[in-house]
Amino acid sequence: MERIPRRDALALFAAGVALTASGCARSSTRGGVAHGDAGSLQWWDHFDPLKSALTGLFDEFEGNAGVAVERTVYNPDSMGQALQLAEGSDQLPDVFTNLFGAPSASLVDRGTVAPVELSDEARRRLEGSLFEGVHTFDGKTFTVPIFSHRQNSTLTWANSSLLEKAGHEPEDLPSTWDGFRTLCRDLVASGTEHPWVAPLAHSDRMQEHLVDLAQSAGQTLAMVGSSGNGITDARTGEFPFASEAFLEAFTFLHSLITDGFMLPASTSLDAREARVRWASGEAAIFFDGPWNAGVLNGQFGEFMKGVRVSGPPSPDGRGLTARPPADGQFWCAGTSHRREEVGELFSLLTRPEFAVALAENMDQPPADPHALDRAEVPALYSRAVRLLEKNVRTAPSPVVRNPAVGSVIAEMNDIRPDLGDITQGYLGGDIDDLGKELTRFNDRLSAERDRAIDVVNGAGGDVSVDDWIFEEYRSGDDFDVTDY
Amino acid sequence: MTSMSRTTEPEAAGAAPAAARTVPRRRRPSLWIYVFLAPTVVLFGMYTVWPSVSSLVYSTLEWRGLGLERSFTGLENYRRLLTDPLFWKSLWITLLIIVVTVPLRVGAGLLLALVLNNPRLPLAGLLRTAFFVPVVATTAIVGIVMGFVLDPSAGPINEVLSIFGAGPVDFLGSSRTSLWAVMGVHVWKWLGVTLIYWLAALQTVPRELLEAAETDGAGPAARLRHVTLPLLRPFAVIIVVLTIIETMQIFDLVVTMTGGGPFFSTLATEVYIYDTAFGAARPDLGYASAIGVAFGVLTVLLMVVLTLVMRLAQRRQEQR
Amino acid sequence: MTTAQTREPSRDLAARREPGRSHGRPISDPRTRGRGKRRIGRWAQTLVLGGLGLLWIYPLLWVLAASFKDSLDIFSGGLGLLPDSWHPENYLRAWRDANFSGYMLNTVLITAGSIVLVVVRCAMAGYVIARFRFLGRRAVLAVLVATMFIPTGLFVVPVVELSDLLGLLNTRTGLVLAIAGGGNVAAVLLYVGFFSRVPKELEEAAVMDGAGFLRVFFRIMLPLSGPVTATVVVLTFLSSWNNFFLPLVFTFSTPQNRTLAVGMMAFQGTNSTDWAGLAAAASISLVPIVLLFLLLQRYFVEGIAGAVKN
Repeated sequence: MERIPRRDALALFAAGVALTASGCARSSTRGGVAHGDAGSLQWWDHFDPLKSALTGLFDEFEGNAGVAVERTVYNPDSMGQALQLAEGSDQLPDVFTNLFGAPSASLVDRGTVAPVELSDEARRRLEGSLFEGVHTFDGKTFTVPIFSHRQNSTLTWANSSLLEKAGHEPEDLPSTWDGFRTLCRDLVASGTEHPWVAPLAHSDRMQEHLVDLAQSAGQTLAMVGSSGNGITDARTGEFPFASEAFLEAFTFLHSLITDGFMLPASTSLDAREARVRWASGEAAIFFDGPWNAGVLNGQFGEFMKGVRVSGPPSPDGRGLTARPPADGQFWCAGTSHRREEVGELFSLLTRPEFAVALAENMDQPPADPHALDRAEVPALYSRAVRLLEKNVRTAPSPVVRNPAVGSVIAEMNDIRPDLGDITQGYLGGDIDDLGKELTRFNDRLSAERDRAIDVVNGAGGDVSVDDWIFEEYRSGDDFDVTDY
Repeated sequence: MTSMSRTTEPEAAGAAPAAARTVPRRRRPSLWIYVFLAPTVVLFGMYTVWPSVSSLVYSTLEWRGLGLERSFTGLENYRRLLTDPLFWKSLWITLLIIVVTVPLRVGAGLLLALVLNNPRLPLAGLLRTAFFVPVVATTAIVGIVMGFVLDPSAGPINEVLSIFGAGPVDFLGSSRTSLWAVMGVHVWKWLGVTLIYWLAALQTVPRELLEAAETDGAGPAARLRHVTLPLLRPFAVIIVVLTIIETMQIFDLVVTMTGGGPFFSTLATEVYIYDTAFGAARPDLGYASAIGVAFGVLTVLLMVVLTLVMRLAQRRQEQR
Repeated sequence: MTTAQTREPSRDLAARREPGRSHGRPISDPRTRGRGKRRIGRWAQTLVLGGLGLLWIYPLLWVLAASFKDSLDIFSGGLGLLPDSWHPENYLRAWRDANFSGYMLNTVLITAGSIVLVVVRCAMAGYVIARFRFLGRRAVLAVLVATMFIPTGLFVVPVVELSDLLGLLNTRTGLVLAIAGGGNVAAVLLYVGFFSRVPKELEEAAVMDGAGFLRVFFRIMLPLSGPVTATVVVLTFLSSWNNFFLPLVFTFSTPQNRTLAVGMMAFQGTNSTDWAGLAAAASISLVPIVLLFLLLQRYFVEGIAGAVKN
């Protein structure tokens, strides 16, 4: 064998040692929490507009508790993946927003999240707004709601100068589906070729539009979360997607397309892109949530001055929708060593000052409805939030009645095509027989739920389809904590 | 897999006996051979083979998201796979993408490389860069630009179409055209990589040989046909395989441009795997792994069949 | 048979190569008539290709232009290039506020590390696979090629688990190993393809001169492989520069180690995207790659011929 030159051999050896040496210790200590620098509290969320509200809060907290908060903002698409991977490698931050895709109940069961101790003051302020199965589990508080549930994604936002050109009074936006069609027709006549832009490529958002429109057409819903698995007919407990109201909502959107009112590019836009296309004047009308005002204020201030807002159009002109009790946004990791500090932070989240700061960030409306009075926000945002306060009701949530419902929904497999897919398929012309497709979706969901119920009961749970039935609930009512 | 190793065999095997003759008997460099292989074997084992084996294991688990309990379900995920129309649809879409874009990329890449390889071509360097740059462009922003280029109402392509009285075509928004639009943008973005492969391959064509051929009176076409192309042939196999593999992992672009829609029309398998593992409301790592494994196995099978067919064709040609 | 056909020319080459023959000489000699005509022909080619190239990069010019616009201008201007008003502060936002200065340094370090690792390990493996017969050669090749077809979308999960076990998570070394350790079969195959075609005389001559195994490889073979190495460098640069998932996972608890691709995430929010900032960030991360490509082209062009003559 050829003699390996000494120098080379040495170099090789050194490289080998270096490689081995770098591999001696596990980098994340089991059960530990990721630490950027040893002293700070790690906080991950996906609410980029909340920067100023949270920064103020964190500064104050650091002043009091002497612990710095290191915040990382993810976009929602990568947040879920980041959380999954972080949990897999024991790197969960102390606080995170729940984009696991799993219902809160199962996070609690698994110990992924931990209960926190709130201050007495905070507990007083939260009276009546904490729901067992949503915020508290076995009486222990896990999270606090910061946003109001009185919101939807289907407010009508309009470009007033284009409306004026069409001879419409911008302050008086149409409230009915027919009025909406007339407005579109007049807009086309006055030169706005395609008056309405929608994020058709964004199937989740289209699904929200559909649910809002179906509710405004009289559909009563019980809701857990916003995906199809958790949306049921409150009166029967069955999946509602083939109902009259849903079909009407589909038909309404479809008619806008067949009449040529939709900006053709819509088919490939998500909500963010659709909004900018609308803001650049290509279309006059855009459906979006209250945060639209915040985005406009941040990026298109000049354009915002000419924007008007009203509720979602509806057959009866009332535009009533409903949402279940608001989820808590922030959760404390089960692995966190800083539960006490997290409890203090969460207590701070309930203060009126924070609600005001939240309102001023103009994202989702704050849980405290009075915050808006003291917040300095553009009139457009307050108008949007006031509209929502008036027209969004509290829907019943089966998971509040029986937390095991959460486990059932966690157990259910996704059924594809889901409501968003079907919306996309029908509006894009890939589905001809809508009724058949929706019925099939309903049936598959029901079968999947039955299977999941069996699994949960088999594991010692106690849950039945009856938990989904709220016979007494009527569309347009608030289903309060005392009604369960 | 064995068949693939055989495809690359010709040039490798061709060289090996030569090398064996080359290396004088008094040297036995066998230890060095293994030292040279070690980094690749060790690292590749850690970062590719191990994850592959893990995927195989994962695919037999019921595993909803990381950290959640994993329980063994045997072949349940595969049973589900067989009756999952989306899986089969995604396979078909991936196959279609490969069949359409790979020949385009390899062919156009070669053509471009042949022209751009001429060192006397003015500005060749700049031109090469121009065709290469899309490769490095951030996908998120490419999605936006291409939205404008393909815009059904005001996009330049539709304006050109309207001159001929055609269109407007809703390239990205209609399930009839979306896949083709994505493939077009894919070719645009990744042609540069194939171009690089070919440029590198062309460097192995010795200039003396071309000179000699020219002295012998061969024109450019004859030189191309009798000198350059035969020399490029073994590279062609590698380049085609590499391009196929890159194409199989078409992912970012689809996600930014169409998100797999409209109505699943661009749901390539890699996108579906990813969706199932991370994107879904309910992540399902076990099932995603099963899709991945099945996809890998089917691809290898396809490659085996292709190689066999190619060999058969070759043999027949030789017999003639 | 193919092998015979393909090997023929190189034998030809060996036979024809005479000591006196110059290698740097251009293909067409001055004696050729119609030189002017040819030059015009080449310029015509350039013109046509230039037009095509311009069309080709137009979308990217648009991105560059967008980085100077404001977000509304980006969308209202359609495909126009000129901004209504100039907003160079987009760059400031990306560079300073989004910490792209720090990310740039990280990305450069990580990319450089990956390139070195990939080039060295793939060249070494490619060399021995191409030129030697040894026990396990077929097996190594077979495993390499077979794993190419396995979708890598889910690899991030086991890779993270493994790195965690080895104590490499949250370190840049771990990240470099994860990026450069796996895959890169393409690079190995390119080297195999290349080394198997290097004329054996070169090696023989070196061995005659008493060069050992390492010397033959590092002094002769590796320098010879300039064009392939350039290709591998460019490809590795690309994949590690734009890699998103691994750097994301490896920097969960060390945000200061993030790379440009991960940093880009900050521009895409829940409800809005800072398009202009994103365009600026994209332009920033584009520049180094374009420069690198321009620089390395020399190696693509020079090729083997230059090296052979020494």
